[in-house]
Amino acid sequence: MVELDFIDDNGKTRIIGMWKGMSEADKAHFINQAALALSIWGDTEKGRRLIVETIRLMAGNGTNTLADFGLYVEKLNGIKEAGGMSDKIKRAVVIIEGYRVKNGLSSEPHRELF
Amino acid sequence: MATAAPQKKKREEETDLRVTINQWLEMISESRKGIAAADIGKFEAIGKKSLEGKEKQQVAAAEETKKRQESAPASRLDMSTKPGRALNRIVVERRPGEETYVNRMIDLAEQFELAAQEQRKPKDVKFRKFVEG
Repeated sequence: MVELDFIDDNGKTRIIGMWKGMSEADKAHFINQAALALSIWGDTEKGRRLIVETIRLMAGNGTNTLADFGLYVEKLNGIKEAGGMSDKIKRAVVIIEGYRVKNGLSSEPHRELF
Repeated sequence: MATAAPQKKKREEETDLRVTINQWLEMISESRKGIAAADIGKFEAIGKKSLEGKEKQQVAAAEETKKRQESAPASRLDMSTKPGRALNRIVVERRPGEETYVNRMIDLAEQFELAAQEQRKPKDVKFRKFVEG
């Protein structure tokens, strides 16, 4: 099991809330994008940690659907847990961008501004 | 007992989240196994094209903004003629058609000027410190 101590209480509540409020289609888009990322990063503890880090970044940025996953992958470059993965992160960004274009997904996050 | 309930709820939420996220990771891992190399290649090609297009758009938009700023008739307001006021020695230019703090600052300054011309004490007009960006 992945430890989640690095996500604060507010973030945890938001993540559960997001998942519960999502349509089945959006849930599938989230899983597919994360699966594409994992296929580039490797299905390892580090790869899985980066998936959870991306979710944490989404929760902290006010997005309200995990289907925005691909829009946050690039932000991983700014965190130390992604050290040494810069090229793989860039490649995942390109591939997930292709997935989002192919499926007509928004290029802007669905955010609650207030 | 009064504090036990929220703590219990918090523990349940944490367990709930850990289970949920680990379930997602299992689903993601299963889904990954179904991704063919051809799919990745296809998405990569589309993604490259899309990101190149976005980059070109950003460059074009930046050039357009620069051109507009250079050619637009600027409304200048030289605050250095108002010694002792909050905006003393600041020269700002209005950027037509844009919503910027500078434009808002000029609007406020013009209101201030009008009030002064009518020889009214502009007690209700206060300048706030504006930070561009």
